[in-house]
Amino acid sequence: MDRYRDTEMDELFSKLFELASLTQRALSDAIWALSHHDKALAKKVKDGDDAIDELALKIDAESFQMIARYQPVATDLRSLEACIRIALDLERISDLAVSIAKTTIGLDARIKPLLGLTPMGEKVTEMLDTVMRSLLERDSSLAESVFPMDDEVDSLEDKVFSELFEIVTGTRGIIQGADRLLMVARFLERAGDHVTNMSEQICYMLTGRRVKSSDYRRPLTEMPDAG
Amino acid sequence: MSPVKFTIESLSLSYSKGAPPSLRDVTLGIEENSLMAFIGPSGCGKSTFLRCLNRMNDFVRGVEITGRVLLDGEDIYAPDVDVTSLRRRVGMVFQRPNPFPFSIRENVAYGPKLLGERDRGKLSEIVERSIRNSGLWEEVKDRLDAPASSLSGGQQQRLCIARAIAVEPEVLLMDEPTSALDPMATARIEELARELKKYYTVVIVTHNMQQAARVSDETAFFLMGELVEHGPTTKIFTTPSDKRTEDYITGRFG
Repeated sequence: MDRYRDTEMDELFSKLFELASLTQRALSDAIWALSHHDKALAKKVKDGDDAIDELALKIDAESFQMIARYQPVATDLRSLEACIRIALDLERISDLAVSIAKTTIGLDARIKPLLGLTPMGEKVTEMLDTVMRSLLERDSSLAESVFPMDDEVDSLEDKVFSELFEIVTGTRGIIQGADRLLMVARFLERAGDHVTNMSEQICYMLTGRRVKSSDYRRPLTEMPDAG
Repeated sequence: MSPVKFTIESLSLSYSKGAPPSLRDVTLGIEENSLMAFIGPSGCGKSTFLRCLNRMNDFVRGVEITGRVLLDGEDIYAPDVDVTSLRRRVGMVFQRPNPFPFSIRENVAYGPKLLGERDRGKLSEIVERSIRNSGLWEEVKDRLDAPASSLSGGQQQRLCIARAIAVEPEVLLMDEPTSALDPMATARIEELARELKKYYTVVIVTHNMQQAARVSDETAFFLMGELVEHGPTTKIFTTPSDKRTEDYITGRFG
């Protein structure tokens, strides 16, 4: 049976994909701006955040309106839960992109960006791309493939830390800039965590199973009954 | 986990010989002091199944029932079972309120009187307690001798619940008890059903899936005479196991 609320659900998810593409763009621009000392691009990322926030709020509001109007259950309910939470994660990732952009704006151009930061940023962007593709293709195993990628992000963060340590011990003058770059590594690590949240949510939406990124290697178990 | 009140084993039912079965091989346990909802599209067998629990289908000529229905471990279809006493233990409330053409008081006192209670003091105690427990007392306490027909539909339905619980049943079967009521009266019956499960085992048949989601602990989904899936209501309404359950509760068919 065709249900008119399916059309509304499709429209809601189109907005979510739009939010994802804006967020992805903000993140990759923020990383590019940092590694190329492009303050103009960094400013553009910062200025674009309001539109992202607005879209995230709109998705949130429309999801709750659908809950109120249709009292969804089963897949419909899980889809709306996913929509609300994913929009929140995307909005947070875009805030982190803004934090990276602000770092670039305040950073002395003479500081060489840490080598590990760019691959770290690229990895997070790839995770984000993968997770949104898993949603588009309704493929939970693709969503799960994001979990090991987050481990790579974490080890890249370790690499950035050691780089930083070398800089701090080698050249006293740039400690201030280096600690800002350390913050950038932390921002990227958090962005990666948001993407894994999104993966978990997509798995639950598609299969009804609760999976955790921390046990992606173990066999998946049934969700315990809430009641 | 509460003890099991009803155990139904491989229950099948045909309304006449050779007719396709209206219930096919249904096996289900109903826990004591729980509220179970039966859902499914029209003609799925949920009301038929409910009526098997107090042998209301005995009135249907030519009906054929196989399998077993155990109440507290005893087969209610065994030859020596006294059906009247079974129906005292397993009360029923119907789709449309059906008060007797007597006063409010007499409606509630009817069952206890039939069971031999003659003491006026005791009867009036039972009347008050039953009407209180059905949430109607404040509205009718000053006019117990008014005709039951003077009550609104929602009040009449609560009176029928009072009448059903006046004989102190163990199980209360409710066959779409709110389908003739407005949302406010429906809400009161739903609150009442949740309250009543503290004292009785309550089984409710409903067309309204949101009602099942709101009130019940367990939900059983029937389709074409088959029990497709049953389990905790939270599970059924968030992550049903069977595709047919999913399609029905999300409004894709039925």
